Amino acid sequence: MSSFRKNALLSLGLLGFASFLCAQTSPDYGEIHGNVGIDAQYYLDDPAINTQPVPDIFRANSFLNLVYTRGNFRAGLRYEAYMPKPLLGFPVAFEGHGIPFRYAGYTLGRLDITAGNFYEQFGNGLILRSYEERALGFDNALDGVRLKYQPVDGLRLIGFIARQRFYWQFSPGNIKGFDAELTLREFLPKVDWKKWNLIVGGSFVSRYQSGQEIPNPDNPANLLEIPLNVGGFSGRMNLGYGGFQLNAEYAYKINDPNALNKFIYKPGTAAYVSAAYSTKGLGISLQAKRVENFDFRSDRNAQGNDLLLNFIPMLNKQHTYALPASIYPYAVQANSELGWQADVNFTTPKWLNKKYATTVNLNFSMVSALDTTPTGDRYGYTSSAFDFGKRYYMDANIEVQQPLGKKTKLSLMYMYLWQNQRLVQGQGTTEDNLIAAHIAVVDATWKVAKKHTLRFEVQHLATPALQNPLNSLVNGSWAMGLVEYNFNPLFFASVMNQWSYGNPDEKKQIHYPTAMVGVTLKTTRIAIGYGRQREGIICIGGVCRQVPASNGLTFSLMSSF
Amino acid sequence: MKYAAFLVLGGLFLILPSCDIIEDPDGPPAPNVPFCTDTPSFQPRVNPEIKLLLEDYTGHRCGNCPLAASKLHELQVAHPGQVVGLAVHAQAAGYFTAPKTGTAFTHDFRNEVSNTLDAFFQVAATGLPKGVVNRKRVNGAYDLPISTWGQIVQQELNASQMADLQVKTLWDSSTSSLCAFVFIEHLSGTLPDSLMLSVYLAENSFVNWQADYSVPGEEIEFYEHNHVLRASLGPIWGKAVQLNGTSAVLSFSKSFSGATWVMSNCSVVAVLQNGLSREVIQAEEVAAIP
Repeated sequence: MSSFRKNALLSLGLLGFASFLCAQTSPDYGEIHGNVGIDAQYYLDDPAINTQPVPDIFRANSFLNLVYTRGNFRAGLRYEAYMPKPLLGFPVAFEGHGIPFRYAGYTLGRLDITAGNFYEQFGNGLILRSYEERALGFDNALDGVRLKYQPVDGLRLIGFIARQRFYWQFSPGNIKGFDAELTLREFLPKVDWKKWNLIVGGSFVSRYQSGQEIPNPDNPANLLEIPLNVGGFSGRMNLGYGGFQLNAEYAYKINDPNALNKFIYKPGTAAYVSAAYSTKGLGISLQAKRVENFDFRSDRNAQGNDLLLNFIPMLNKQHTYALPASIYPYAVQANSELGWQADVNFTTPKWLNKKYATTVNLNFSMVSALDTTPTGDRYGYTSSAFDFGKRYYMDANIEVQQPLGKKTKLSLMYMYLWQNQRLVQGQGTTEDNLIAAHIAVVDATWKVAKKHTLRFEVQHLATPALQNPLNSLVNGSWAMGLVEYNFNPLFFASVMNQWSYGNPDEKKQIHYPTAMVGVTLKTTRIAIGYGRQREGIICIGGVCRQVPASNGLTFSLMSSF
Repeated sequence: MKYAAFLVLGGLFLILPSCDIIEDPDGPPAPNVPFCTDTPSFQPRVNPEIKLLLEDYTGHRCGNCPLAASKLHELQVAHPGQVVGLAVHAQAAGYFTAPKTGTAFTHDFRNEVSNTLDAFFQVAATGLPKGVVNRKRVNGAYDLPISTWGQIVQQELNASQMADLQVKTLWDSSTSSLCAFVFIEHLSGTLPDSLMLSVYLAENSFVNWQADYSVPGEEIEFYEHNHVLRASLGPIWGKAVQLNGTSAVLSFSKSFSGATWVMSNCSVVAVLQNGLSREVIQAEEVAAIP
């Protein structure tokens, strides 16, 4: 049987199973809900964009989530299949199929118990964030036992002991965690809090991993004294008054010599603060962070996106338009960052534009490395608290949305981007690879008739003619156009082309056309596309993965029941 | 319910995390056998040569695998001293590497080192024989058919040499302990931030059964297995390398008491690699017993 037929049969089997379970729903026996997703691609060779050969031709990433609930009891599982291999760009270690996520739990009054897999986040995630991001091929689910307990109103306690998912295996490290959060408004209900709201919390997370023999570079006759238990703790607060919010968290991690910090013993610190004010027609937020030696994983030898325990929030706008989002995205540098962001949203008042208000978003962010001085010993370096080191990234952008009538809406965006590609993406070897780009986007939506809309998008990315080095397919200027038709909510079709017309190497001046059609039937969405995918980097929340160039037919299905 | 609350609170505190704060990172003496304490002196080579690692994923019940062994030998003859080979017998190859009782193929070539390497590079399950050159992807794949080895080897040997390795070994027959000192010298270019050094033990001239489709009967009783990956002297993915200026010396030692292989036929293979991508920067091979 061909690999294509095997995958097709498997996909049909998944759907049939889900439908059967749905049909078995009965109030007497609890309820089953779930969803199914299939992303598949039929790969074609395309030497012009240097595609990798895919001998198996057809690949699919699929999953089925099932959640059963009855009263206070719940159980669930997720079946995943990456066959014959994961789609290009996803970690090859996902190859195979099975049930990597399963759990059961129940709630008994103020106590909640989960055994098996679970996701958890303490505060902003500085010392713990376990989550799944399917588009990145990222899943650091915990597997163990978790207790949640609320002894009194307003006080919530969480404790767990677990290991982390590592593709189809487990982390070598065991993780213990404890979190307490106090919401004073609920804890002291008799106090007249008026517009005030205060939440305070604290967390501990610890990794136990057996030792290993690592020679001490400063004294090769001896080994390093490796800490088997590495703990981190954090304190946080969230203060609110009316439309004002202040969120702050500070985290500290004891000595954690690991492969990414070159086995230094310097403690790690992370500080994050966010202040926001919002009122009708206006929203302002300011955020800042300082991160030092704070890559925290459940394996001291893990690298890349493997076995991450914590999450450093990105302080850059998460762009959604294709060129700003994917040509030069920012990847968070968990071992050295000092950055800030300002974001202002406002809507023009009625007296200025009575009929159709204009919405404006102004955003600026800048992230640099810490300014450090090597100590020459096992503690690595010292750093000044607020001095900027080498700059990683800067983004200044403005986005304006203006309805032009009842049937048309126009969005305009301009962005200035600056990036040290060597430091952020590891591209280039010895010299900093500095990128500067001007990006403009025009996005127009026209409601042709009731339920029928057309959307047009034109984007342009201009970079200086000379960059160092010009060795990548993404270098040089780009243009992009998109036309999309929607018949809400049943049908959509789109045609898009990205063109690297400004690459100084004429062979790399390539068109990347794609076309897609899709239908939505109740809770099921099916889309089929065809075209070229350019090589690049996909980042979500500052966590990134490489995407190789590909060409072919894509199929995606998402259904819930 | 109140008692339950106390019990739960107690349980939560029981799992409170612990921390090992290290006052002095300088730990215990490296567990070298006594004769492995004095680091020998190394002098940078006058004319260092780039040396690559070719890992031959093979199996004793794989009838086409002797072709790959021949190809590896041919490349070693064509590029004297520059092609370091390892024969990897991984469990994921299934039938090809599994011993089978009731037949002549009872020797188990598989081991943890081979399985761990294969778990990362995912080669054995793609069918044997396959090779991996310098642990680099070629057109997106690690596993290379024999027909491509020559071209890829030539390509790798044409690259500029970033580092050189020298290995000196000591063998203590009374304790069956092997010691290896590896001298790493940075020559040119920028080495990756994460640099790891692995040291493996490979056995040569091991005579045992081998399937071979090119001979009558398709089996050879006295087949000479070479470069058989047997063990790792340190962590499989290596020890972290911290250069002191442009060089460093790392020591590895292990007791092979009880091991059945013939140490005098073994060689020590050192592999300097990028700790992130696993790509090999330089390899070196010397006899286990000098």
